[in-house]
Amino acid sequence: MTPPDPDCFDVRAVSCGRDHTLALLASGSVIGWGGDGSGRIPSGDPEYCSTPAPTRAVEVLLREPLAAVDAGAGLSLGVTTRHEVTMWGAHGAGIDGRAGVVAPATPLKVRALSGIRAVAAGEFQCAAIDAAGVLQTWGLNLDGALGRDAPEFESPPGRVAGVPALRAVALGNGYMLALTRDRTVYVWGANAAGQLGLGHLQSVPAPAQVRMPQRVEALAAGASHALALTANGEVLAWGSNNHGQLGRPEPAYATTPTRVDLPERAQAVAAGTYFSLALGNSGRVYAWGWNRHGQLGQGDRDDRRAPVLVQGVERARAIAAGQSHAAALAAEGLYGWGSNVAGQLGAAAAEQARPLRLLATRQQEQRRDV
Amino acid sequence: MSEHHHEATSRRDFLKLGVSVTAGAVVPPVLTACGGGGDAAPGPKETFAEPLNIQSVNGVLDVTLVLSYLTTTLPNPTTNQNQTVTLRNMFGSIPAPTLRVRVGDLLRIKVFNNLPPNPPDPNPTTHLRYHNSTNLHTHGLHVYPDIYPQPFVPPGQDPNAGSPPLVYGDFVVDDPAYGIQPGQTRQYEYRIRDDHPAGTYWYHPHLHGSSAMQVGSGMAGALIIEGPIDDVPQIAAAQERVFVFQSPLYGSDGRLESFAQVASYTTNEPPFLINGVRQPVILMESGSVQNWRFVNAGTFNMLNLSLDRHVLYQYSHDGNPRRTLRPVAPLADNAYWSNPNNAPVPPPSSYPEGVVLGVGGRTNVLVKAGAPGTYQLRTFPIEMGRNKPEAGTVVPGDAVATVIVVDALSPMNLPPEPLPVTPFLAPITDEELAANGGLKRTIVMRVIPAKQPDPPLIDPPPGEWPDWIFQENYPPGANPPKPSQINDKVYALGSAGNAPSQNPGMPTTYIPFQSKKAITQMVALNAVEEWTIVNFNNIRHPFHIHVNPMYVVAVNGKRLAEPYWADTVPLPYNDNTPPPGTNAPATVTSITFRMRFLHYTGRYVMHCHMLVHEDMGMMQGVTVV
Ligand SMILES: [Cu+2]
Repeated sequence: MTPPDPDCFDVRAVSCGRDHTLALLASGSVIGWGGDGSGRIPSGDPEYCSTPAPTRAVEVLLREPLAAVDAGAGLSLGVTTRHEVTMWGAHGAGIDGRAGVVAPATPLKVRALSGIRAVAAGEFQCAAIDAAGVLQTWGLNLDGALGRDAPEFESPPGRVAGVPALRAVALGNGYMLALTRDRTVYVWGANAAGQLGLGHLQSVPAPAQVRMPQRVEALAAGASHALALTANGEVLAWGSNNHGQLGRPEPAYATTPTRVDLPERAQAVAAGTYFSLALGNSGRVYAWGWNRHGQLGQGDRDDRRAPVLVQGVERARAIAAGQSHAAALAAEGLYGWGSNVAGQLGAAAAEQARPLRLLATRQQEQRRDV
Repeated sequence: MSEHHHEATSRRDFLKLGVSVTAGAVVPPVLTACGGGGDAAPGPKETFAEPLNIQSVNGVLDVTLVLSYLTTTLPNPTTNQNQTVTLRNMFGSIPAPTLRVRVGDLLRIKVFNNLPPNPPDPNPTTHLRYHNSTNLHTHGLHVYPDIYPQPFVPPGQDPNAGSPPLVYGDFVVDDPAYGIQPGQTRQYEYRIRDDHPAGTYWYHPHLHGSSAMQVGSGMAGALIIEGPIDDVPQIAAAQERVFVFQSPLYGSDGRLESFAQVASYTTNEPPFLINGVRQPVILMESGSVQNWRFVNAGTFNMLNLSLDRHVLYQYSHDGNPRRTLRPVAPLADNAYWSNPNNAPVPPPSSYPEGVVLGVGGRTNVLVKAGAPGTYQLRTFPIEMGRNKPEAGTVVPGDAVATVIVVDALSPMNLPPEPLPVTPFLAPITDEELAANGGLKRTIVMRVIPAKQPDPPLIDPPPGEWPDWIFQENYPPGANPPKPSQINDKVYALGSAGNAPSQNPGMPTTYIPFQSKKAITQMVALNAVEEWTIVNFNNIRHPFHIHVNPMYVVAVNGKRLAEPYWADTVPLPYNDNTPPPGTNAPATVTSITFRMRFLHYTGRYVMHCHMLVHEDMGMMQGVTVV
């Protein structure tokens, strides 16, 4: 791994966890801000710094470069370029099963996983998809969150049956959303706000297909609400709506997908706790829902029950939502806004109600290598 | 505001007792018709002693309570002798006075810490060094949890006169090195809402790192909120008794001066005292109904209470009233339990179940005295973990009080159902949960061995190890060398912290399992959530959360036929053996509750109420925004 340019970074992906933020660099190294899972582990010598301590990012002390990364609640999962899974942060249930370490000083390899293409990290649940589209889950099997017949405390990753080959998986609080390669949606787990989209409020212990009006290109799992991006750029939302996170004032919750009114077609969606983000085809970012920490980027803390434009971020190409902070990767910088109580937005204010540039980013050739 | 003294109690006595009353009244407990006859009266004598009772007047109770060392005598249940003890003490008595208010009242408590400065303490675990620093928690109250944003000006005072000091709600998120330090004073204020559940609560110090030593010294008192339930004629007519169950801990010198000392106990704690009395005698008239308020103010052991040949009609869980009376029947034949001080420990399947109270729990029961005779109020043996003889997981049976029923006059009645319950405790339906966010959270309670298995489960950063665990062989040269059951383990609630680690470049320390850096659950005001508290251990960690009561809906994932409201719930223990090389079971146990986060924003905590566990980090923050 070559040390990044101290002033400018080639950021390939961004992910927001409960209270940390990760940026995957073109070199395969990862830098992070905030609480556990950010890579703030003892010893080591960060190679770069564009903002002064103590709010600068730190580099995760990886043994090998990563191709993908996902920030969860206090922990992070990465896929190496050799398609193995690595994990860092801390985890009360054990990172790698019941004999697993709960607080390692350096990133660990998750045993028994190979050929992995995508990962998703929650708090007590994790998921990984391999090259064949097979999903494996591990962690605490409460409310059927692992999507398979396993004890409450399942140690090794195990295969989820009853789903076609998968393209992506997203984790909310105790539930999962899976996107198949043929663009259909399967769900399981906790459902107290109707976030499985199945028309009821009962937990579901095994994959169930959600009827969608169109093919789905991407999914986002908030704490208790879900978003889908359809093939024609529409955004669908379901689950809790106590702060307008479905993009409409009523009803208080929805157990089936409802359409979000956006001023343009979208290319990506992201969801946190009671708030939602969409990235328009124009590169503009829209936000709606809970805004207690300024996570809608509006300069205030008032909820929005319909999408509003996030000012100050242009030509974005990726978005991410944490518990109550958000990030956007734009042409010339990585931006963050919302809660910074754990330092997840570096030098930002404790409640950063407008986007702040965390890093300068380099113009880069468009390349996908996962 | 007037000062009111009962004639038998002068102001000087108050100061000697460590309590003074600015607004409110000291009211002696009602004397029983048969027990108040004085020493010369013939017949059995009552030895049950009520704590001093201080109650609000005109909607206000405003007291100053002093913390200091107290030298007194306590009955030593082990030797059956009175022993001179010198213990840290709250408000001049063991237990502390009963504070009594009514729904809608204003309760103000000024705490003056008159303990000596914290002595130098070489304990490598830094947050355990502050035995003489303190703070105050009102256990179970639904009140403002934080420091009031504006200094509160009491009614009738000029808001512009001087700058009053900060006023605290039920605030316990103190740094262990601060709190109320020796010589300092803190003003607490609790505005009890009109719809607050009426019931039995308690108060005790809650400074992380010194809570076990201070509560273990007997620093606790009952806090009673009266309301509509107390106006039900049959309950109003019943004589009330407050039972503060405590098990003060001290060495042969009568002192408790190290964390190791309090950590050396589990179920081998001394038997309970009631209001500082060992096995008090209670007199009742046949046919009369009494209203008993039980408070488990111990530090570890559970209670499993039953009265020989009498039904206990339970009408609350903690401070939360029930709509119906829950009859807890006595055993048909008590012969098996008739030797209370040497109660045998039979196989666990045969332990009878009485009124079960985890440490920190309370309940109210009505009891109607039966035929004249002598009866024992007992706590049956109870498993606090899978019953392995070597593990010390069973609290032995004990007789905690003697009830003597004498001939009587007028029979009394139990109240009709339903009993009045505040709308604040309306059941939380699926619909209400869904409409208010429907968020689910999982919290893990787990004791993690620091050195086993190999490789160990935790990997503390260099230099932080001492702050993660209470170390083996501390204090140096201690006899026995391993001072406690709790050493060399991490006590964790939840997963990682959300505070950044020290290196590189961060100004804070890692210590993810200690409260100051532990994870904080961020909750939206007015949200309704469902939480599952998971137990990884073979011990019944009593889970307690401040400020908002829990509506318990499931145990081990099974929905309860009768959900109930509580604030302290002992988790089921794990009944299977961890696979070799691990300390985690193949399955876990759990409770699931729903909660409304109403009325108050601010910072507070949830934790294991085995206070030694809490002091070692089994605590997490909650911040409502
Ligand atoms: Cu515990």
